[in-house]
Amino acid sequence: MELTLAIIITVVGASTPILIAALGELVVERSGVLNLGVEGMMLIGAIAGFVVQFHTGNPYLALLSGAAAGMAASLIFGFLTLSLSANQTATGLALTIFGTGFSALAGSSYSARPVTLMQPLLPAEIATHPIGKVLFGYSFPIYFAFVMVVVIWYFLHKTRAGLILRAVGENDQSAHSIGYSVLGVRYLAVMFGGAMAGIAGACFPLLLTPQWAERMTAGRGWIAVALVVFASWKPFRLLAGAYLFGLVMTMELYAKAGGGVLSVIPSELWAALPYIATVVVLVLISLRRDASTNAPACLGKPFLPAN
Amino acid sequence: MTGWWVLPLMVLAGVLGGMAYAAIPALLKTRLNVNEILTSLMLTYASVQLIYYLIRAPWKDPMGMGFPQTRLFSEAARLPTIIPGTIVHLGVPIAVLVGLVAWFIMTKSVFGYRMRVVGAAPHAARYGGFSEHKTIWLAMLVSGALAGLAGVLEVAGPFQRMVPGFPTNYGFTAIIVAFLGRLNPLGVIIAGVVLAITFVGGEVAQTTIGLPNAATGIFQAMMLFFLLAGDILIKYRLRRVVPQPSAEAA
Amino acid sequence: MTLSRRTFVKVGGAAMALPLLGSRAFAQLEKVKIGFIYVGSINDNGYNYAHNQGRLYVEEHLGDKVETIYVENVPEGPDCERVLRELAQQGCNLIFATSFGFGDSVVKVAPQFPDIAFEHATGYMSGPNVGLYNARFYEGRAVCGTIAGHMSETGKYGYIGSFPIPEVVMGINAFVLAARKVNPDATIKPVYISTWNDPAKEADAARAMIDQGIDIIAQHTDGPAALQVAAERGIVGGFGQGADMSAFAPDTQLTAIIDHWGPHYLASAEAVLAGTWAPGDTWEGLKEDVVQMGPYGAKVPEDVVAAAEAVRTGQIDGSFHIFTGPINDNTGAERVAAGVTMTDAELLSMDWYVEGVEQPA
Repeated sequence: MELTLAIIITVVGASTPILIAALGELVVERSGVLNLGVEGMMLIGAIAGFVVQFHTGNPYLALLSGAAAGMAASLIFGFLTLSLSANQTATGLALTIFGTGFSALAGSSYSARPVTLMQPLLPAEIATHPIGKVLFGYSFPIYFAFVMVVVIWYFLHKTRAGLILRAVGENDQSAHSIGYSVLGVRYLAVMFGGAMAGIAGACFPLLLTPQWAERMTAGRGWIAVALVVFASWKPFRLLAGAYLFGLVMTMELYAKAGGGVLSVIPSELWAALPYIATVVVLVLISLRRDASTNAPACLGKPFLPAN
Repeated sequence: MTGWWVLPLMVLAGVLGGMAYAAIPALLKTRLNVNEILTSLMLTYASVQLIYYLIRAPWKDPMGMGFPQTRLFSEAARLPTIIPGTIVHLGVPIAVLVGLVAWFIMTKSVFGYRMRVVGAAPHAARYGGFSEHKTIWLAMLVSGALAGLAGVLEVAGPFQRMVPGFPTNYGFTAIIVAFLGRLNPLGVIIAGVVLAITFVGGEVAQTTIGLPNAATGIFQAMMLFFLLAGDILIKYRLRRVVPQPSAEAA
Repeated sequence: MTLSRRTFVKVGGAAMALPLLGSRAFAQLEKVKIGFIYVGSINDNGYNYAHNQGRLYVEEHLGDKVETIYVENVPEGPDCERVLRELAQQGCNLIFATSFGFGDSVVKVAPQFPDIAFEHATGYMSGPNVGLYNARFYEGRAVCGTIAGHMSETGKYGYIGSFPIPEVVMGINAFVLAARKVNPDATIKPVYISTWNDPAKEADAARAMIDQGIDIIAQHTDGPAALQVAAERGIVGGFGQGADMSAFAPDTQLTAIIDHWGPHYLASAEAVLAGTWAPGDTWEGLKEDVVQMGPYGAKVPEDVVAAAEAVRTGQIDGSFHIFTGPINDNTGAERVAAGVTMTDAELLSMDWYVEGVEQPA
């Protein structure tokens, strides 16, 4: 029991950054844009968050800086792909190269410096009982991620603005002819995605390992991209998927540390599972022929208004 | 293993392996209309893990002090170097040749014409009697075959064994190269060289002016941003010849 | 092997441009140019950082008799081969390839430049102008294990490794052998995470082990992640690896194993300057100051410090070797008879675990 609770706490920590980054990417993709620069934006968010946490010790300011830095990086992508209709796949990959280099350069003088972890949001008394700790013992980003799942679901499905965003992603030409600004909507979505990726990156030094290390996100941005697809672009499935992926990433380590049946599974299979699962889900979605689970129709295609 | 046939067999296996892997997204795309960018992205990460597993466990070099790497290939399995004392191997002329052949096919053959029409205007292609599915299959298989060829040339040429550092990320670089080359095989040859210069130049900058490696990454990304932007500006000017009253894309 | 004068002529111009502080007349024009190739970033807090500190150590000691250049983040494979040639063509007299995976490239490039001295870290392929060097980190592990044996309450230790290479296996074995000299029931659990650099995964591996009962942690990956988790969870302690990491966990770091390549790099540079360099196969440790122990943590009691110091000094004066029998493997079979010390060759190919190591998957 105690071990189960401990595992849950570690899973929550591992899942939160990929959940936050994927929530951002979900909104971006729902607007019809495929930004493969999540990993790069996360790294920029991580170094921005680290530097601010190091100098101010204020983790909320650090998260905000992560968000701002991620958003700034996403604007490069937005300008190229939206204003200049550059290819989204290539630009996203270039953004990841940029983020990796930029964060390494910005962080080069912060390598041997520790920061303090973000403290739990609620007073310690609430979290004295083990169950209480599992429910209420986390810091702000964990609850933020849950709240954002609901907010994004509500936004997409219950608000007019969300309807417009989905319309832009499904049929940009129609949305344009009705009079909506396709590019305006997509700019906002891309910036939101950048901010969320930045916060997700800042979670690394604030929640997981209070240091700066080059490339410290170690591919989690790509897992976030996979997760959006795995969740078939739906916020609640994304939540479930993030925790499933987090469980897969974490169980490998618990199994190896504890022995038992699961420990014989090679780490490479654990690492490949999220991607294989995503392909399987893609296939299942298509087999069901349920239009609501399809990829946004305009995903990855530049918007060039027809006459 | 020795014999002249080892290397051609390896190349054949590499090509077939690439085709087989590309067949998965092709099948999913044509049968189930699954987005091929997403499936191939996921499969890339899965395949990297498969390689890691193979070189860490079943194919591990018994003489490699336990390090995850395969045995050194035998003489017969190595691609010869064409300029002694460099890493310029037989794969270099092969790559250029493939580029030229691809250019010829894409611009001068019915096959290439069909591919371009299906890509640019799928509806028109259908009216023209071109099968979209057949074209997707062809494109994906050819592309998989070439990716497999690139992989086998790289491992048999400069690496001569499989190591975890095998540059599986060259595939991503290749996507960028393709767009920098404006999806034209001749352009791709030039873009490939340009990108390679930035890699090499980055190392020279480290040793000569002490520029950190990270700055090279930034420089490279900036160059890509500008080229991607510039590329579109060129295209956009061409489009402007047709009057587009509602155009707001710039 | 001696170096030709040709290379000195090339760097002469550069030497003139520098302030000539050298006092010995015959050395004023003699200058060694050294190239370093790192597999990762010099800011990794660990392995590559330590090699770069070694480079700075040489610069500090040789002043204007040396010029060093380095290339970081060099991928293993043809990129390394190209960088090696570049360094050779830029007039380096001595080149250090600091990662195991550079071996193939060194062996390929070195014959082309017979006038240049190459040294490859932790490798096994030498040549007429290719020397090998390594450090006996297991000696540091024995000191750490001694502390763990005294201080652990549960007698269970965790060990995060990247891959089960002999270097890592040897470290695990040395650690638990030393600990079991104090606490014969002690056990250690290795967890391999199949990566050298994923701090979040390291941290989670540490959490997974701590949640399952270990109270002392050691790691053979770069960076302080595991040590920081030890501090976060308030377990007995952990160790710095590669460098003193007390800044990251001042109360939790019990001591650290410090890679101190400087003395080796300096010796090689001086040999090249003197024209006496020959390809060696050195494996130096605490005695040669190539491995150092960090400061003992405040919570390590005096008697434990004394025990640890005894192990450290015993290894320096040669009276103590951690791999002296009797040693059983973790199936209980005797591997090393009483009084017999394992040879270096046996150590460098070690692929079995000693008693007390829980067999990793």
